[in-house]
Amino acid sequence: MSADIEVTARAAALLKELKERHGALLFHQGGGCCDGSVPLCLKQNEFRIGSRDTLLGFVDEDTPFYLGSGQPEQVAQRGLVLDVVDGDTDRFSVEAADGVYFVSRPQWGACGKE
Amino acid sequence: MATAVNQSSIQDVLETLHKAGVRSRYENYIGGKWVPPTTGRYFVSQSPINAEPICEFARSGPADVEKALDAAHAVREKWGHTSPADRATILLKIADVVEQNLETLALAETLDNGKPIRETRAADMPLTVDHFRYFAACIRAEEGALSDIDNDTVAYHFKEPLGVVGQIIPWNFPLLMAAWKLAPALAAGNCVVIKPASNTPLSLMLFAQLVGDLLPPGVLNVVTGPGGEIGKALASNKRIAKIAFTGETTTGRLIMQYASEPIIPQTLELGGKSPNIFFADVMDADDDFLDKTLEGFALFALNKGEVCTCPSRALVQESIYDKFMERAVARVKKIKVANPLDPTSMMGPQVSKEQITKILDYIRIGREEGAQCLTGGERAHLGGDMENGYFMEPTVFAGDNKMRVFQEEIFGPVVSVTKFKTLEEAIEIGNDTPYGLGSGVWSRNMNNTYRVGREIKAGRCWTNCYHVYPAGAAFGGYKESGFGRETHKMILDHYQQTKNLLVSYSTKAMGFF
Repeated sequence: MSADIEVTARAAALLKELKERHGALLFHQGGGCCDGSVPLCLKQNEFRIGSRDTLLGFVDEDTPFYLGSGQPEQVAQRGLVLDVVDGDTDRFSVEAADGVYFVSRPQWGACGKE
Repeated sequence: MATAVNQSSIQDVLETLHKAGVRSRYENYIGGKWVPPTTGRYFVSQSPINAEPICEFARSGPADVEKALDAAHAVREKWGHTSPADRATILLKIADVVEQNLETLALAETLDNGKPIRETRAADMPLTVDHFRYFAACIRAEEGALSDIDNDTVAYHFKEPLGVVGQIIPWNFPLLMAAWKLAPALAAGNCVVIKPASNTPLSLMLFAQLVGDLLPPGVLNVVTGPGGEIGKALASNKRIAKIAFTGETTTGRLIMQYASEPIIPQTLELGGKSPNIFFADVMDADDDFLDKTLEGFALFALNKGEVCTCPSRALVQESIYDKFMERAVARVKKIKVANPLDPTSMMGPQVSKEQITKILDYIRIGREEGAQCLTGGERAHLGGDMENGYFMEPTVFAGDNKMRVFQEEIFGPVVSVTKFKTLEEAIEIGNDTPYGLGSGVWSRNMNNTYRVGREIKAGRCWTNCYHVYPAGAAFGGYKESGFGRETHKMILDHYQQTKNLLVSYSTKAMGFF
């Protein structure tokens, strides 16, 4: 599966900085309650990817984006935008300590209708 | 004029809370004292009603978690040896104090989380009170066991506390979820380091302020701050004997991985996409039962849909679909979205901007994948300063169970409705989800309800009711919804070790050597 993952300039800059600090990273978007269905940015050696995770695509040359639940085909068909917003969250994501967090949203209009 | 009135009501409530002793800044509660964070930093919690600040909390770092663990370990042995009668007495006193301060706690919870005041008064707080009383009773009635292995040998089984446990609480029922975890942990003789969600720390800090003195210093420790720092520092800490977490699945998996290093048990509750199944016979009469059933449909909007067991998929039998949905949508349209401090408000704002953004994205996804929006689908505009609040319209989609809005947890007031023909099809669609936390079935025919209830792969099947959470009924998930069962005496086993003394009363050698 190869989804189009559009990375905003701010997200790309943050990811570059985080990689310098933490080494190889990955994104994993699971489901579930409260803060579910959001991308967590984790150290590659910290999170074990399983057989039921779907590799959606790459955010940059060596940072994969996995989907842990939900409907990967439909998510991939639409494509994703990876962005960063300001705010404190409780996520275990590596960027959260800096008062920012990654968000993913569908590429609206990518299927030809708005 | 709405602005002035609404603003004053929120300000009035804040003033009322301050008069009742609620602080404008909370430090960590460690070792029976208020301890400033080692970071020296604080964060501001905002009310989702108008996005205005209400209170400051410690923005702690990992060193504060260590401090809390020091305090807990210092008293671990002593607290673990307290008699069950003494622990039960303390739990009963905690319940009494919460009950005496029910109105203050309810107001604080509504202000911080946005849930309607009628829910915090009638559900969150009374259930919290009852939870402590229930576990006070359980621990008094708890017994070990012994087995007669043979005429000379007896196996004695003693229940022992685990020691110091870590607990991470979600923001949707900030005090009630804390009570679900704290009451059994304390009853069983454990010390606790607990972290409330950063969106909603107020009620748990107020709880510590109100009941802290009832417990020996160090038994209850509350630390606030970002999950990525202190949640992680707690969950991956080698000095905890167990971790309890309610939240989303990626974090749940991370926590399981952390727990695999020191090899400690976990209880995880990770969400759901619960089916609510309506058989045709609910419309056999236009009576009280049908009225109750229609309310059961509308219960997806309880707590603004921010419930792990939100009945977010409705399955309606085809033969009644049109006429049932006409009544159901009419019922949903009557839901009053208003300032949650107003006692007539039925739905308050979503907990955060992040949350409402996600919900609106899902609504757009639903529309684009062809789901039909039967009502709602927009942000609710309340005017005045509440224009900045995170209010949604309760939303009903009709579509197909393969759509993303049927499969992914939205965690908002959105229900996706589809049809089924037979009981077998209802079970098949009901089980077509990675989750298995809640489910509901409505029928006048008990054979339908029993069969569905047994075949649905979910930890609970509400039968001709929904969203009731009494202590004494086990709550927990199948499949990706997690494991462990809370709100029942069996959770005590998740907070206890079993010590077996295998004793020989024979004076004779075994004869091997």
